[in-house]
Amino acid sequence: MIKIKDLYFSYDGKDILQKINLDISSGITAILGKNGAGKTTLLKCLAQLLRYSGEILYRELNLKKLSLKKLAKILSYLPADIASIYDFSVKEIIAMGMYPTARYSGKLRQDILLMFDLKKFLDRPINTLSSGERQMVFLAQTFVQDTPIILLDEPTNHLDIWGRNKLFSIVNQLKKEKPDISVIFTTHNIEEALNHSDNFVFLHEQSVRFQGKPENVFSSAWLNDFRQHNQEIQAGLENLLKGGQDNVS
Amino acid sequence: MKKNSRIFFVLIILLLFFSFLEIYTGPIKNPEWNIILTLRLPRIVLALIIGTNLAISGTALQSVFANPLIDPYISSASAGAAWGIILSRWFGFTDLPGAVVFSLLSLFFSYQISRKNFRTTPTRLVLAGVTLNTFLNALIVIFFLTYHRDFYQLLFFLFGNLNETDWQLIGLSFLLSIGGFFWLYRLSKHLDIISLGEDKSATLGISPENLKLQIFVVVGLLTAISVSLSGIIGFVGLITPHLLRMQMGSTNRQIIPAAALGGSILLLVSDWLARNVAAPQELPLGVVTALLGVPYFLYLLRKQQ
Repeated sequence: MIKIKDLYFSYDGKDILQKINLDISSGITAILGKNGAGKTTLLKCLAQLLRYSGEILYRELNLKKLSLKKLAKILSYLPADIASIYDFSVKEIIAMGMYPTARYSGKLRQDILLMFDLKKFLDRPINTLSSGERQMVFLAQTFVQDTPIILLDEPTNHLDIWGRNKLFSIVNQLKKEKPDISVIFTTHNIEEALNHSDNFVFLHEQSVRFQGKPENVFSSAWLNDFRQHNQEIQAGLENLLKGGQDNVS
Repeated sequence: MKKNSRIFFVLIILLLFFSFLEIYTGPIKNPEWNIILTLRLPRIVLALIIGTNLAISGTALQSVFANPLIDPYISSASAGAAWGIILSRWFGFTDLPGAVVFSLLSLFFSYQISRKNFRTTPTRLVLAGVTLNTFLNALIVIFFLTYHRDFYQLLFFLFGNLNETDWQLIGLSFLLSIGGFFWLYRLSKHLDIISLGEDKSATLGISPENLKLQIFVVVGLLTAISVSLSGIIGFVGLITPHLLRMQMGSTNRQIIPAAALGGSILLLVSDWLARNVAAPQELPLGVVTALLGVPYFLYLLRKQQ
């Protein structure tokens, strides 16, 4: 679906990304790597926010050659730590995401609001929400743009374990409705990638060290165990919150 | 939205009230029609033009740079325009074109020096603006000390006043300002979006470079008009959008028209104070707005941390 050919990027005379060649299929792809491995840079190159050399193709379209307007119908992007300095209402923030398609005067997409459970917040000023709730609003803003490529830079920042699960269940639901979409997100959290992604890309020392399914690195038995373990941790936590004294199994 | 229409209503009432106050009170009690028409009515029209221009320019700059501490004065556009006027008079041209060019140049220049690796930060932008502003003001002082005899009038003019009575100039400025207002109003959604950051703006299909250029041109024009009509008047562009955002949210579709009304009111009030506090002596208008604006700016700066 997305093809990256010989991508190089350097900044201030320092190479950040070197000879990246990648095929990213539809589904959920996690970009992993140590701090400073170039995860955000790669995502920004995909979003056409940086001047890289090389090509990024989407269905044979060279993304570099598209106008910003056309690009906004193909990809949406959530910057890491996005915030609004001015106090727009939640409704207004989400509506901005519809600018490329509806000039943001149209009605908000109810399905997305429902999925993110944001209806109760709509008229609240954004900066009166908690940081996790705010992150959900900006995620919703990105999703209402309704593009086949969704790029999320550390989307689970500020989200608790429930928020994280909610985000990935929304992504999975969208994937069911539109099997063609590619959701690409960066994370430095290996659990997150193993739990929720179909594919992962591991960046190390300016280039791709590994690309593929989690199953290619870990045995499926181990992965199942791992995922089950995570679910148990969450169930245990929920039990604790309900006031249950049972042991966390 | 209902709450906002109430605010618009209140603003219009305030504007009318202070216009009447401006017309009927002043150093001369019970003014004759002649005085009202030739001296006080132009003041109201000037307050409308300049208040609107400065306040909507401030609104636009604050949005496009996601920086609530910037306005035509702090970004040094006003000081640039003042230099444009000084040089125009020196070489015997009319004020306005030179003012536009130099206002634009100093906007652009302060933006450029604040950039590092193509990005600017709110703090660097304010520092660059303040630095350039101080430098240009120092040059103005040197200029007047050197040529004080020929340009003494101009020095007082630059401190701010609403004494312009040339209806032709006022009329032209009025038309240009209306054009500028609608240009900014048309960009209000773009300004909302870019205030979330240039990356968000670009991926929503709005080119940050193109938008910044348009804002620079319009702000340069509107600031130059203000300065050539009435000298340097600071802080109106800074505080008006703030006061309004606190009351009515942040969408520029609402804030830009409200800022036009709010800026005009603020200017009428300041001018009324300037003329009446020490009557018959008239205080420079820029001094009054600074006295009102500086405490507010410091308050914002503290809140910003």
